[in-house]
Amino acid sequence: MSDKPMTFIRRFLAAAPASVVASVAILAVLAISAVLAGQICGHAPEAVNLMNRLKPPVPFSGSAFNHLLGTDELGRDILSRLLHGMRISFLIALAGTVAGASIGLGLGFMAAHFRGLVDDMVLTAIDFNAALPFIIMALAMLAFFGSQIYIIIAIMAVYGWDRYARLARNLSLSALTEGYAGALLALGASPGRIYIRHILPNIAGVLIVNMTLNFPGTILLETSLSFLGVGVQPPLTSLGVLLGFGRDYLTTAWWIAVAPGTVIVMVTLSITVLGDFIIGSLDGTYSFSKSDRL
Amino acid sequence: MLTGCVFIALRLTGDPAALILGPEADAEALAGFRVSRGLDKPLYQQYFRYIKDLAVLDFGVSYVTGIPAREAFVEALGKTMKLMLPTAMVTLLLGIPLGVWAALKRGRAMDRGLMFFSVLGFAVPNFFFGLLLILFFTVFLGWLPSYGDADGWHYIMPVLTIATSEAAIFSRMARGAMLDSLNMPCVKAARTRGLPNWRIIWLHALPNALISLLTMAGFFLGALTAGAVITENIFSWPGTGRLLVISVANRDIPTVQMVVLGIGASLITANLAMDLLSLLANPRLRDAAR
Repeated sequence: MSDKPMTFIRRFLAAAPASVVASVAILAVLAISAVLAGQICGHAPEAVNLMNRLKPPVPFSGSAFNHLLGTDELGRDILSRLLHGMRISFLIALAGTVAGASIGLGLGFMAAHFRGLVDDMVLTAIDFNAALPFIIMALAMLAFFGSQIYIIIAIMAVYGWDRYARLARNLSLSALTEGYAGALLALGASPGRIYIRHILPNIAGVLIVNMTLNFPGTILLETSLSFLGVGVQPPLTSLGVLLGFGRDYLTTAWWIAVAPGTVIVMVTLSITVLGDFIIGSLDGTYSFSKSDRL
Repeated sequence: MLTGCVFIALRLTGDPAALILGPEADAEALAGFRVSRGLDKPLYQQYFRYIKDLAVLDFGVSYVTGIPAREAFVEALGKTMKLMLPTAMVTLLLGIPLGVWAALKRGRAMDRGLMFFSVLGFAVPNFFFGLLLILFFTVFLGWLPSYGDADGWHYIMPVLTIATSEAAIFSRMARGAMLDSLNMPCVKAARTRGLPNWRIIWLHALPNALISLLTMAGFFLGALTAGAVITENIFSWPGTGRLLVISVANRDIPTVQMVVLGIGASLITANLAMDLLSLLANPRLRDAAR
């Protein structure tokens, strides 16, 4: 991406279909509102107002403009809770993705460098991770270790690491056969330097695509665990916590569940559309190796 | 190796006695609990006992209900199977024909429309779709019961919840497989021989596509199991997924362990059966395996 940013954006707008542009716009809006959660909304997410309980969202009768998306059973503002929940969900998914990518990269590089026994061990671990539906492993880990926030982030990391490890291993094996790695070795560069400074930048594109593709899965994993009540614990909220909470009020106040659910769908749908477009335009350099879902 | 990991993880994570009996329990009660569960012995003795119990399929007694974990699991597994069979059927009957149809109409509005719904089915998570179904059919219309497994009506929403998302993925795979097989030499040969279109599709292209779909079956079983965990909890279906989540919430370690090992073992067995089945169905694989 040697272009200046503006030309890159212009070329993207010219090449991408409307659905992809819309997805990017939705993601940008959601990301910005998650970052600015406190500034956008006047209400604190935990501010209880029992006089204002179970207000419906705006177009419906009985709604008020100071609670655009209505209020929950304690009179807390749904929009504000939604924005703060988004923030937690995105942060967990982001931290988990980065941690998973780092673990996967490290193990993949080690497998490619040492080959032999280390390679076999890493490959076995990858297969093991892919053999069971991950949500079952995640639930078992939560049972053993509890539901602290860092455990949840660790679970998100374990969810993704195998794909990065496989990619990093295969890509660096093929990079090692190219001339530049041999030249560096002959120059006396240390393995760490070769992998981090030279091979990593060469394979970064594919890894970033993989991060994009993995993101909806990570969000869905966190939200399902929280929805089941074993993920993020109150007083922290996440999209899944809000949805699980709204489930108890489906008969009286459907909007409590529908608001976070819609945001989750918007995120996963946008990233899926975007990912399909990126895969399509890379054309063959990247293919689905494992498509497990929740 | 797996048993070792599970055992270490179990013991690393704090004192089960304190977890089960709660912060109010006095020292005497805690000690009594430990003795009754064998937790007062040295670790290596605990591990040997644990392995010995596993060898005779004794997974211990639930900390919470006092029911043997194996009995609870077997009962729940039956309920899950009862839900999974119709779900698998609906998924296949929905996913494969739609995918094949999209492949035949490649690039036209029908194809694009179907693939749009496929992406949508892929992106709407089970737990939200299930809630929307409850909202519509139970809360607004009052037609369907929202929890339990009493009679046929109770099956509709859980089956729909899992089947739509799985069918969305399946139709994409079926579309890809069908497109591949439409490009195979045998199909082109059939075209040049002037065979009628239905014969080409039904007797030449479709069998080849189905065979490559069969290799996806292992993935499908895993996805069904994962779907069941979420869906059973939405609709309070008393299967393995619900048992697992309840036990995790209660930190009922023997039951969690039983369910995880049990589901793992069933999936491995089922995958093996599927591999053998695809060997049976596809002579080319048989040659490759030799």
